[in-house]
Amino acid sequence: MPDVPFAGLFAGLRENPMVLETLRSVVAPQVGAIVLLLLLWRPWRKQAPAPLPIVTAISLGAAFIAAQFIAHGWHGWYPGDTTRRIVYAGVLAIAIAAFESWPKLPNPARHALRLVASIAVVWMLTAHRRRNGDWSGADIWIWTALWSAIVMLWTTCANNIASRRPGPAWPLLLSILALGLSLTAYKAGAASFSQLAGLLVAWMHGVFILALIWKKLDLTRGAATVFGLGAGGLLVLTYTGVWPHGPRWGVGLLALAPLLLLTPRLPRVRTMKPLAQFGITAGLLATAAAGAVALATYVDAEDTGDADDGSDLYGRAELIANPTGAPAPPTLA
Amino acid sequence: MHRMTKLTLAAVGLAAVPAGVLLTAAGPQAEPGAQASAITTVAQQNEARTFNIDAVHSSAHFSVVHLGVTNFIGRFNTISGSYRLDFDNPDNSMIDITIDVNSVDSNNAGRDRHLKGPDFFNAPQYPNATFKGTAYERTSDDTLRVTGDLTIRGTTRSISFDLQHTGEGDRGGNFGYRGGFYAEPVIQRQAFGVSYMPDGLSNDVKLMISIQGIAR
Repeated sequence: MPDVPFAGLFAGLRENPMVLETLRSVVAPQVGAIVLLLLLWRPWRKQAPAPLPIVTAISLGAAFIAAQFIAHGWHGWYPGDTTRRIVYAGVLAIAIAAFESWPKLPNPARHALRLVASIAVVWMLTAHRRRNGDWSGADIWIWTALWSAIVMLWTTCANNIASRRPGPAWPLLLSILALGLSLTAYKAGAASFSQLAGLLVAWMHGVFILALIWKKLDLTRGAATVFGLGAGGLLVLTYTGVWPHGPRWGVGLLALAPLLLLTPRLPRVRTMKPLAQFGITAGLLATAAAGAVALATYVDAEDTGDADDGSDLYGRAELIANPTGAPAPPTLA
Repeated sequence: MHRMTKLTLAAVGLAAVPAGVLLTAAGPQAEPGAQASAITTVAQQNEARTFNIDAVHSSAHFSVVHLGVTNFIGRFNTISGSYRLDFDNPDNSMIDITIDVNSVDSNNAGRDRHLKGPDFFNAPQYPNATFKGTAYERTSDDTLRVTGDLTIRGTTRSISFDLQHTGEGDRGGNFGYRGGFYAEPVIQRQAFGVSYMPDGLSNDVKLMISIQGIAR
């Protein structure tokens, strides 16, 4: 058997459950989604046009749904466990993207569809809050309206940047947001939400590579709706679906972070070169994403119960107990 | 002298009464197994009693293989419910146990929070795990084969396990009439939707349930 190059670097990783989980629930659906995109789009044709919005929506939406099933299996058509209903954000987004593929659809109708979808996603994912009585009376309408507005904001801002910035820039920008969401969900104690957000990051990076090849084509428009509803839904669950509640400040900052995608429209920035606009927007997004993770780690831990022993999900307690990592002295026995 | 002999015999006779009582009481202690079986036999001869679970003296542990190398053991601190074990008429038995999953204790606050979250028990939506017995079969003088519905994370599955009757009797004073049992059901966590990290945590989870009850 010839030696595999760099085999030593990867020794043990094949046995690492986190690596295997990532390969199965993130990388496999991402690769499948990109292959599906290429098969539906067939860019090797001469003068291939940009893929229809429904094609990119199916690619990302199918990956989103597949990742959930791979990680957690089938739990019925409409599971009572609302965390399992996140797959329907993907299904709904594909349906909305199908409507949006119709070129004559007027803009107000487009926004109305997204608003209805945002409300539906929030209503579906927060059913447990109503069922358990956490929300009652006016709370139901206030919280539903607030979360729906946030999901709508994510969907609108993602679509805005996708339609205005064809090429490799926008998938990178959206991947920064999704990465912030993934790490915040992880800090909230919801690794399964973190994985799904990680899939959004992975898909965006796959499209980034395609966009480097076909720079002038819009590869993304339909997928932006899937991204908005999927990531927005995950953000809702990261707060309402974890015990006792998600990181307040971290989620709050992330909720508003998509507004930074509109930075290139600011008067002073609008006149800059595209690369400078991208750099400023990416820098601001990265700062907001890192800020959200830092808030979830250091500020929100106070009121979510993580602060009592200073431990992370795993392992930090041992580090605190033995900060130098020195081996224990031999025992007399 | 004759009178002295009578007094001596009387004293010995008087002393023999409490000594006999003490010896009688001490007798079974020389053979603990005999005492336990005697109590069990008495309990079985009497009408089966219904017990409320004494949360302070009951425990529910779980053991899962972590990374394929070791058994990790955690516990739930809040158990409630009631039971009745009827060895003469097993169909008259009853077990109804509720475990508060928010009381999960793995000796690490961050991990406890993870266990209560959507990756495992999803406590915001499903704060309790429950077991309700549905069928009972006597397999020996102190064991029952129990079948029942276990509900975790809103998913109900039928499980069967052997239950060991560990003792029963009147302990007097503040304790009163008490009984207990022990069981080690093995469940498949993924069947209950607790599916996170299949490569790092075994699908089989052994529960170690030790229940003490106070007779109603």
